[in-house]
Amino acid sequence: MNKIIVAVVVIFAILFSFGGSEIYKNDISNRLIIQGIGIDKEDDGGYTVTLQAINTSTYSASVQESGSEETVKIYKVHGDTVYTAIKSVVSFEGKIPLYSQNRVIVIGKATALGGIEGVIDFFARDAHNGPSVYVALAENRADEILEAKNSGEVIADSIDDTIEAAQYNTGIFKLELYELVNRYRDSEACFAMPVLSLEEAEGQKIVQIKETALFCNAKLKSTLNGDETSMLNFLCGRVYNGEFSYKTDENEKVAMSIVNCNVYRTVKILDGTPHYTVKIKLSTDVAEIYNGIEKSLDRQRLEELSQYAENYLKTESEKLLSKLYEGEVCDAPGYSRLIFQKYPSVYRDNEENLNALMAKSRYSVEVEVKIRRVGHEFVKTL
Amino acid sequence: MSKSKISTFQFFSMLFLTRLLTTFTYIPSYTKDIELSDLVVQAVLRYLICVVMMIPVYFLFKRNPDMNILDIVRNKWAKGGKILAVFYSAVLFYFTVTTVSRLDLFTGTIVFPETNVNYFLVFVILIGCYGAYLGIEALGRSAVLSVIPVTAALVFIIATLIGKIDFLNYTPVFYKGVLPVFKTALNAAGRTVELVMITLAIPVASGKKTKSFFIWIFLQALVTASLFFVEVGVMGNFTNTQLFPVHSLAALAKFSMFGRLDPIITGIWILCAFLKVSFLLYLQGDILHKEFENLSKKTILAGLGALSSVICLYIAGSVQRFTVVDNSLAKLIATALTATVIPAVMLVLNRRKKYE
Repeated sequence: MNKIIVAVVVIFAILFSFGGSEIYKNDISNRLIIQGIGIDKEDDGGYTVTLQAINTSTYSASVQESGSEETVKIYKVHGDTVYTAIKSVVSFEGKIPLYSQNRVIVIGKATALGGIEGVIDFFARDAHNGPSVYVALAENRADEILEAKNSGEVIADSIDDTIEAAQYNTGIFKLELYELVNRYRDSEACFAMPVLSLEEAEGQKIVQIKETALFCNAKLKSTLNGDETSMLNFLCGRVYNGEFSYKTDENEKVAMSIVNCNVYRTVKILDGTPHYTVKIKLSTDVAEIYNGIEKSLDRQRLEELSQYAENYLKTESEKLLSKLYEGEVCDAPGYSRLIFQKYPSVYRDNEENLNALMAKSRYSVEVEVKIRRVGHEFVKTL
Repeated sequence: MSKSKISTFQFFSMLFLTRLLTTFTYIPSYTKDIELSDLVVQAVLRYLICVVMMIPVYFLFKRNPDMNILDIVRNKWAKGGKILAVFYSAVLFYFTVTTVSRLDLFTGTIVFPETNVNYFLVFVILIGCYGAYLGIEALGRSAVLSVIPVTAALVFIIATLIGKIDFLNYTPVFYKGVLPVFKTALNAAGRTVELVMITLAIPVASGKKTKSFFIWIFLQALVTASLFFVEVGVMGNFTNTQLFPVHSLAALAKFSMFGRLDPIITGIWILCAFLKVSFLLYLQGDILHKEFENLSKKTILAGLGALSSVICLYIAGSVQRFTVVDNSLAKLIATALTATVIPAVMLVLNRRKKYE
């Protein structure tokens, strides 16, 4: 009996010690469970923060049956900083924001053009903000994205799922909070993130990933289309699955499904100029050959197909490298780090103007594509 | 020293867990003078320094295997033994306070940032006192029971993160020179209170002590270096923006239905903290009881618990106080004196006596 009493006392002591006299703060009914945060910079220098929160009242059975309430609530608040804006929600909602369930941070275009370093600190500093929260750019305003109504679906959830799909879709470049903060390691702070846009379809507004935004010095600089985004993923060694397609000289469209991809990046400095070599080794399956049903995949044709794929990837990725380093001057793939690793003294000498060094560098891409499977083709060939 | 005995496996399991707590709760300000990859280098270097610091202890205990440092001093100079006992207790008490304060900083920042965790802090000290009261055998058994799941969880977390490593995050080794790396490693070695624990408690362990010591050092270096290697590879510079980077790292570890693995780290953390606080208090209780026999162990532990609670509650009020108390130089001096200098002096005195 004594042991039971001691056990009960210990359990209460543990509970009390975790919450103390302020245990009410941790009561879920007193928390505003944030799912998505949108940040728009305003002309007055302050920020409008849009919070998408779970409407906890819909969890009651009667409300769910009546369907009278939305599953999410949207709050728009204004403040001098992101933190003060978010905290102001307490004054009219009476609940304390809880960010641990936050799925995405959407940054408005105006904020991005002015530079995002001012808005990121809060997210890196606050213990409840997970380091793996996705960061995305809104094509226009962030509030438009989070306010979109999509068959009652939680938009932040759907954005999270769409960005998460980057592991299966080479056309999406995902960026998590810790990766974004990490890119401040270099003086130029170059990175890329997905751009969200609103599309009208059957009377509903659907959030889509339209393109990829390029940032330099933490400011929005340019965008990449879907094909360029795929190449950026290849160059960064971030392709795990997904597909790519190309056209042969006979105007056949060929779609390849990626099984495995390894990327090796090296740099050599010759006569003061960095020479980069990127080797992409791909293992693929032939997924589809448009107009190719009447031709058999014999050995020669397989070699042709892989040759076409190699040429396509080489051409497109070199085109992107030229755009990034000669045109846009944005080290989104982070290649200046290779100089830092291999030639620290060269890096140190050029630390303040890395982009100039990257712009005068030479880049070459070598691609090796192996076709692993061809579907049911061998039935026909044999 | 207490006549209770535990096996070397139990003893070094306990040290493994207490040291793991220090590794998990390292704060980047300790390593601000070095580049990221040097974290891995200093993780190995610090344990090499620990081995060097333990050389006098090795030779001293080779000749006196059943005595701890205080017994050896007492044999030579009874009054000096008493003074040193108080000094050793003060050093252990200092480490107890900083351990609990760091746990408080972690809990108040990461686990319950909006809650007053003073009750939790006092509760940790209370159960630490209870653990110390149960004795070394109970702590040894708890350590063995804990070391297997803790190691498995650690390996699991590291394994799930390997795929996220980006090799561009690594920096050139010794980018800022060798000296800052050495200084960081030396400071880390100075925070290794386990060396003081060995100096005071190794006689309670039965078995092959030297071999176990080297296995412990090797595993500790391996775990620390692996953890830092993965941390730097995955998080890069984000590491330096986080108060407790290892916890942030665990938050990135995802596996199947487990959305985040940071609660595992939190659990390990609290378990290790319990063992460390208990063992530190046990050693203090044991030393002081021997010197002040009129005081019971219970009374001593209650007094230590009350005093450490008051001090920790005072420190908990401000992170500035914590930065003053958790001073690397003070810890280095305390550890070097108690684990290296005093044993070295005793070794010299013993040898001179033999020579005479």
